[in-house]
Amino acid sequence: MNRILSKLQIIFLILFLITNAQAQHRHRYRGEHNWGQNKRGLRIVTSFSDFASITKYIVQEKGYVQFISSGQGDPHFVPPKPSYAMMMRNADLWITTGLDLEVWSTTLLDKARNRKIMDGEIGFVAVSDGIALLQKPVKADRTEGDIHLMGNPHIHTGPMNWKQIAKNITIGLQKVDPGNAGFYVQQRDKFIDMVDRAMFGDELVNIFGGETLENLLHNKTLMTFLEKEYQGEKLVTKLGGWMKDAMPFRGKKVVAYHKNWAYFSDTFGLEVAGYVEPKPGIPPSAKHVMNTINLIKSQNIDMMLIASYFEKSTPQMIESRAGIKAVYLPLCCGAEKGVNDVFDLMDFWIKSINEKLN
Amino acid sequence: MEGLIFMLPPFAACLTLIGIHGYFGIHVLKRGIIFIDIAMAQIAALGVTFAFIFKIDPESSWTYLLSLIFVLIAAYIFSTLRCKNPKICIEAIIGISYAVATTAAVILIDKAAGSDEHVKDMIIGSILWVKWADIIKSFVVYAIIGFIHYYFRDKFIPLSENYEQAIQKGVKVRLWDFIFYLTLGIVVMHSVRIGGILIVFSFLIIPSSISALFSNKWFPRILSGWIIGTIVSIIGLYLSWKFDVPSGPAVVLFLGLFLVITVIFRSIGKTKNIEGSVDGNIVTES
Amino acid sequence: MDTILFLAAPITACLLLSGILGYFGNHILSRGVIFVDIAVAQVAALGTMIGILLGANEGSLFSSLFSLGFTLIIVSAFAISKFKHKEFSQEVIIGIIYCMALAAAMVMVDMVTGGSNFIQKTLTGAILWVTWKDNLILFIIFSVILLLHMFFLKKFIKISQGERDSFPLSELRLLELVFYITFGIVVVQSVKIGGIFMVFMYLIGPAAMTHFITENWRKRFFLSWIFGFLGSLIGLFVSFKYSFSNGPTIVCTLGLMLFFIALFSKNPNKHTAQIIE
Repeated sequence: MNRILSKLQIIFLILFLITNAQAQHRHRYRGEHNWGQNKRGLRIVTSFSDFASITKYIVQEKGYVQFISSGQGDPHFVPPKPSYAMMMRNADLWITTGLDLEVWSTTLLDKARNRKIMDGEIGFVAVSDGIALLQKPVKADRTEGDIHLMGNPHIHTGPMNWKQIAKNITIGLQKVDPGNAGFYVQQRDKFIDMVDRAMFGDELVNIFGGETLENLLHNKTLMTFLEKEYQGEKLVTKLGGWMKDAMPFRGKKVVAYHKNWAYFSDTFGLEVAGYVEPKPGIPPSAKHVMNTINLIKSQNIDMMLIASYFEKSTPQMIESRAGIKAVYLPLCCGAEKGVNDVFDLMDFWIKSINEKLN
Repeated sequence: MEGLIFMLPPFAACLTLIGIHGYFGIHVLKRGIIFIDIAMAQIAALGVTFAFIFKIDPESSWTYLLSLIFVLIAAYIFSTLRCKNPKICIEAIIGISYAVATTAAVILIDKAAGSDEHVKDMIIGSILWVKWADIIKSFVVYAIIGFIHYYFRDKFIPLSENYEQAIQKGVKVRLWDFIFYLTLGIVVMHSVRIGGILIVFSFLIIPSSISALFSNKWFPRILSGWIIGTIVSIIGLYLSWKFDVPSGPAVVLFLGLFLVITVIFRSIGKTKNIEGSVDGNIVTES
Repeated sequence: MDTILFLAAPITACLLLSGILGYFGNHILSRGVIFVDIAVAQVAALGTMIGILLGANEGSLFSSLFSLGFTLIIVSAFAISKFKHKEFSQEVIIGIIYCMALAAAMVMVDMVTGGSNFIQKTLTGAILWVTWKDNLILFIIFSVILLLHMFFLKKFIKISQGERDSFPLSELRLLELVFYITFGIVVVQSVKIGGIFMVFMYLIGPAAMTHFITENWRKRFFLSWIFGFLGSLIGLFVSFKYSFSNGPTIVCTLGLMLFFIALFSKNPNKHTAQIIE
């Protein structure tokens, strides 16, 4: 019995030694989880593909960015694949939300045994630092039914948050790669400028600067501000970018499946009147369903936002029962064809919503 | 080299699991309670949920105790309601306990706490992420339970083989049934934590199914279960590494493949055998 | 009044589901293949995944048909297999099918958008959102299947009671095929509406309850329906009034009903067990 076991052990060892090199080779060139970046550069792993996208803009050819969860899967669930832990093991920088969304990350970090990227070390970046969180529970317990005690963690859904995310990532980059600090800061500022221009359009950014516009938006005074006249025309005619594209649904009421869209709806003035399933995984009560249907009818709501990773059969039933149209939006980039980075993602969302409106 | 170090804990966990599940699997098959582990895992999870509501840390000993209490209650119910004729098989009781435990947990979470996710994550592990501390803890528990079962094997084995006979022999059936379910429940609690429910389920029924095709004696079956489990774990983990697929499911798929191959070879063997038993029943050896 | 109108469609769905599942449940209970519906549901989920991998759109008719076809092929294989070995019972085969399907789904989980939805998501179920059109389709499918079963009822009951050997092998296989294929269709349709746990409970709960009350099959079918429906009504009411999650409440209600019936019934088994001990 023991002889058999030890023989098997030896075979196991040999098999691994032989194929180990092959496996490593495979992981390096795995197409799905990188954008053909510099494999010799700084090794960065992010929790979500959106953070990877932002990081790529900042590191450019100096880094190799991989991510664990894309829009394709449930962000709360990560399949136990060996490559994930290997990625983390070799990482110089780990970028995560920093709230309680990526519950799986502690397990992965444990398995990876990479001192550099543990919470508190220089290789750990929590991108939510400094971001004004929405939907913070008033009571510090769970009785209000809030899943996330610290506030809504889906911060990447609001484009203005990308700027702070980029700043946090850059701080991390500066710590682990001080030699290129200047480069990173430069790229970060470029990225921030890109975001502003994508958001408000070139004209307004050129006149007022991105920061001013962002502050106005944050204080909810942007729209009133744009009613002002400038050189004979109302400012609002100069509005471009996503803010302009989103105007058709500004002030519109919708229903959402879960609370994924807080920052998006807050930014673009979409009003989420209710949630179909406020607590993920827990089917709603009869009373809640009735109230939701009444809400949809009384407010003439005709659109329901759902992240594309949810199963489709229940939303289909909701569509026919409540007379509403479901808009499936990938939560992160990298899942849908043509949605490769965060800018594509925002384009896609706004376009999809506008399409469903008509 | 890296891969080997990497896969060592999962491999050790597999071996540990095979050790105890190879044995319990035979019981499970004989009693016809195939889905007991899924039910027990959920009942233990109900305990964790309870703890969660009272804000007890899922990793603490209090949570463990609460899960244990729930498992105890379940063991009591199962041993009390075990029927002798299949009017309402024990599997039905198990099934209903499973459904009620799961849904009760959801209602509890809904009414008293936040979402389900964190609770689920705390108790369902994956063989890939397993920690040495958990493996060692489980190993110790399994060794103790294994010893108990070995020492009292003249109580446990007849109970699963032939319930009526055991009563006639004067075995205190309810007591030993209760201990059986309790020990099985504790094993499941640990196993689910280190391997996840899929591996637990598969290790419980597939090795013993394979060995059932060849023998009816306990020791050969346990042994062959161990050997099969070890081989399959090696290959399964290796394949999961090579093709970068989830480790637990890879092992399970390979285990299933092994079963299929065994069945095919056996039926080829049977058709070649003109004399002797043509049907599959193995004559009981004493 | 509004509430009644709102609940009318879900109540009808409960009526339909408790009826057909209560009927099948008695067979399932007697055959001792308790978890077969969970296995079927997982196989169907795997089928959907494979369909999507092959290019179908999730939620499309093609996807549903592909999944159903896949499920029925596996169900058929199960139905016609022989179970000669004492320990290699049908339930073991079901267990093996279940864990293979689950393992396969887990291996493919990130090849498909929303892969985690196909790994035995326990509580999907949209009975509250059911429309009258859905109910009509269910009614038609279930009626056809029930009529078919009436034709073979005596034989099905015989098989369920364990008298498999009284049939020649080819006839046995045909009967099993009809039984399990119709069962598979019912489960796949029901799980879409009610979710895995509700279907499971509808199958086992009321049938178990009636086992404490009568031996007569026809009475059992009828009583199972009544118990199932009653439990659903109470569950719906509680879910509505006290804002409890709907599916789980119905399941727990049925569980509690069973518990009480078991406690207060004159169960000959229980007595015998106690006498001997």
